[in-house]
Amino acid sequence: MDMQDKELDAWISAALQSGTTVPTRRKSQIWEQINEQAARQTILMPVTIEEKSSLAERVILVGQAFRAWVSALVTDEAQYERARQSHYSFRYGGPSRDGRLVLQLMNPMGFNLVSPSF
Amino acid sequence: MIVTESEPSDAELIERVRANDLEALGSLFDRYYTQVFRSAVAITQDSAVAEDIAQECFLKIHRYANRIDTSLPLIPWLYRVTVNLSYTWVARQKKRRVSLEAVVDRLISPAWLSPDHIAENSEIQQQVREAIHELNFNQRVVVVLHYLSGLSLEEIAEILDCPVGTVKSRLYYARENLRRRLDSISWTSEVVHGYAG
Repeated sequence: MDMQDKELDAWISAALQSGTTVPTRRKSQIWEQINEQAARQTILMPVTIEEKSSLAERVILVGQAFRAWVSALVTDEAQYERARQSHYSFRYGGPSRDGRLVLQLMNPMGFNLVSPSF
Repeated sequence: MIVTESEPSDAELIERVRANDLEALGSLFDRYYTQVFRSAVAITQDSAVAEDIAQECFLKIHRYANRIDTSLPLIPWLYRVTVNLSYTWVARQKKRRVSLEAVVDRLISPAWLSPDHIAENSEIQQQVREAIHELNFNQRVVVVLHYLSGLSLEEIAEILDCPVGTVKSRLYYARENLRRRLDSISWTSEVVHGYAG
């Protein structure tokens, strides 16, 4: 037979609620154990949680970071200079077997400058 | 739980536990032990394990007293700890692959039944419990919190930290699974209500 909803609910409740008694004596034994263990353990310190910044504060922070980045890009030439120097610098120069001058450039593709043959 | 004016509130007791007042912990134990134990039994189907879980819950109240938000009710926190500890146990048990016979054995003669309850305990109730135990963990937890602890879907969602819709869906499928399982048992409403014969 199909069970009605209420019947099913009643059965689930009854099945779960039946039989889960805790004898008083057993309960006091358990409390004794908890009491003993709690007396031995230390209480942890509270954790300080930083308050989340508001949306406006976050927008301001992102804006400041972006401005600093643009400013560094425009006014600070050191990074550009460093990149330029390393791009054109070479680590080795000398004659090749056929007498041409070879400059090994510091570039990721491994291209070298080779002088025309004399 | 209704706290009368003469009794200290949960928040007051937690404050005292923070000062290492074990009597206050004892008051919380008296107030909530049975609820925690019953939920743990219903989820794990093992009274010895449920005792350990309940014990661990109260030790956690003591250990984490400073970190419990006293502006919120304590009981959802306790249920959350109970569910998490039960989940850990169930997951561990799955790895050990407990035999079906052992589970059925526990259901037939649970150690936590008093003689009166053994007399009352009908075969059908055992089958319902068995069917509940066969639900997956998430469905079983929702069934236990709803039918045993009497919590609303919103409260369960808060405890499990999931949307209300998820709780609703888990409860729906749990009930459908139970209905399918229990429909196969030949019973009558007279037996269901305990006045057959």
